[in-house]
Amino acid sequence: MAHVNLELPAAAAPPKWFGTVTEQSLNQQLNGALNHKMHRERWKYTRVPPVLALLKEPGAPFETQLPEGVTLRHVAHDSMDTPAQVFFGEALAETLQHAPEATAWLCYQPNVQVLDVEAEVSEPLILKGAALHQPLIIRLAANASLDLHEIYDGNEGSSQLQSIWIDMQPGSRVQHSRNSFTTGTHWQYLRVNIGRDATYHLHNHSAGAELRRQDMQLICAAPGAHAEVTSAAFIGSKTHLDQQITVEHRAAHTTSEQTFHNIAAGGAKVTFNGRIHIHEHCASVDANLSNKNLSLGDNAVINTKPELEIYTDDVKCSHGATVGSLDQDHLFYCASRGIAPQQARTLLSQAFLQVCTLGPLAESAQQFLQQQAQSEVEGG
Amino acid sequence: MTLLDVKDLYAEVAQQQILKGLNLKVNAGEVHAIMGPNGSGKSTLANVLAGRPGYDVTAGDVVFEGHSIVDWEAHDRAHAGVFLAFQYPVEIPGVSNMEFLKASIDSKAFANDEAQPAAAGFIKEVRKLAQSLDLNPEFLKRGVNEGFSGGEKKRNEVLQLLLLQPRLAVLDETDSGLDIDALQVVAEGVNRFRSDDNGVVLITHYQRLLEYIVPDFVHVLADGRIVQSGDKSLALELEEKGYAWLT
Ligand SMILES: Nc1ncnc2c1ncn2[C@@H]1O[C@H](COP(=O)(O)OP(=O)(O)O)[C@@H](O)[C@H]1O
Ligand SMILES: [Mg+2]
Repeated sequence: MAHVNLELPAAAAPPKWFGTVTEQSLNQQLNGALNHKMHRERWKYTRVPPVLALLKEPGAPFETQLPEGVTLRHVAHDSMDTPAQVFFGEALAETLQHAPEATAWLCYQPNVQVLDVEAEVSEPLILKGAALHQPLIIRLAANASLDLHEIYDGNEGSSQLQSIWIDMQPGSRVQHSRNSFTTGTHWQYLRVNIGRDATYHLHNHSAGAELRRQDMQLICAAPGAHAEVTSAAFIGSKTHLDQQITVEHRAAHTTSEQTFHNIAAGGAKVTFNGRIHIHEHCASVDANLSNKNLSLGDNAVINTKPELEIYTDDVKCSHGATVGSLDQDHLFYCASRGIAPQQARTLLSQAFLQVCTLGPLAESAQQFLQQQAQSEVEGG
Repeated sequence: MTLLDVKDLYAEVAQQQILKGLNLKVNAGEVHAIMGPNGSGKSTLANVLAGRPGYDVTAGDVVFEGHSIVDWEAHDRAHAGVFLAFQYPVEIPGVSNMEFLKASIDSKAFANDEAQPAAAGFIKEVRKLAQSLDLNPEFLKRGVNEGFSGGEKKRNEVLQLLLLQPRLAVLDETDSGLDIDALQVVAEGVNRFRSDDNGVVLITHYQRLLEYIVPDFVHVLADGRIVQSGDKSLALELEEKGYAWLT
């Protein structure tokens, strides 16, 4: 891959709280990270230039109706309150290496949005609209809870970007549902810091697009933290989906459970990279990840790569990835009951996605994904 | 009337000859028990009758209601009235039992130019059937056989039998793994199905089931062919002597 050169716009300088980094050294560090071999590995199956191009555009704030118990502030970097500065300062020191694009996006944007959740909020907070969105930080106070919906559909072909940073204080809960069904270029960055006894659950439903890249970093930061992801995607002919997921266990007695089901139609390009990282001194961690890929047509390119980094002995960890076609025994069971092969293939493909289509947006996701699966089977 | 006529049937699985000249004739109204040692080809026969891909007929014929069906696909046989109750029913998460049953009955109705049942009445009927087989109707919302115990899976096979009302039912060890109560429930279901219009091929490893479903004929299958036929007393004889004396 060619050397990537990322210039910050002349007007932008690193925010003051961003340590002692000067504009010049930030530029150097970003460029270093973008050209590091780890970065090339993570972007092996998605073209970087279209995403870097997005980073230079101005971001727009999320427009949303705020449920009771939630406040949203739209602030310039240097007028962020201290906890937000500390949170970003710490996070950025890491993302500079792991996700330089996310760091760049944050530094490029003069404003960020800070959403504070102080209580148990029952009404969902709905984020929608295809756009390049300003970085959003969501902070949950102790024992607060949020039902977060992200809905991206319609607006065919437009470019999108979201970078969402969630910080969860002890005992807080987030149920996060995300339907990503647009067809243009779409980069989604998500970083969640899960505190003591806090629970984060993502229901992720996606379609393939011209380019759709989902980066997620979920961090179980204190004992009792639990991360859960159920994800279903249909990647249609000639479309693309690249999911790069890291779950980090940084404390003992933390748990994670991840299930990703992807269907690739003929000519689709799908990448799944799931990393579980269990740090030192993290006894009694239970971490499970399963990625199943179903190939419906010829010429689908499916890359799935499980990665485990475990530095503690006393942990339970399972990690499995499969690529296959529909189960012959299932097809025969259907046939023996009179369900003809084409209908059986539709039914079984839909079922494969259905088991990972959960949560409050499940119904609309099912409708969309099942329709896609059906037209693929019946058209092909 | 002859329902099923299996004529000098040879079949192979994974390039291995398993059925080696099998003959079997089933008339409407009859129950034929097929017994035999493990590995003798009982399930192979069941799968060949149902049209499972990979089970290849190399010689002989299977005639069902006057038509040779060896070249028919499995779903066409099902539409014509052949039913297989599986020895090991699969679990299909994500397709609910109710949805699966509706798809089955609708496919069959469509193929036979019959009206598809209305959803509300259908659901009621299925729930009633489930109850009659001691299956919790709530199970019908789950994925096909998902999380069912061995016995529940077998009862679900009988539920499908009673719902689809085939002409020929091939039951492959529907008794295996059942306790005595479940065995009686399953047997009662099969007896409820029996009529002068249909036939049953009842594959079993043990004589026990035949105390509850009394067969008209008992056949012994060994090494891919029927080596002995008789009435229900043959089953008792087998129970006493085992299979060793046959070979
Ligand atoms: N799908 C298969 N692939 C390979 N061998 C098979 C398959 N099914 C059956 N067989 C073989 O055919 C023989 C008969 O098996 P089966 O019909 O299951 O016997 P039974 O039901 O009487 O116990 C066995 O030797 C078995 O190993
Ligand atoms: Mg068997």
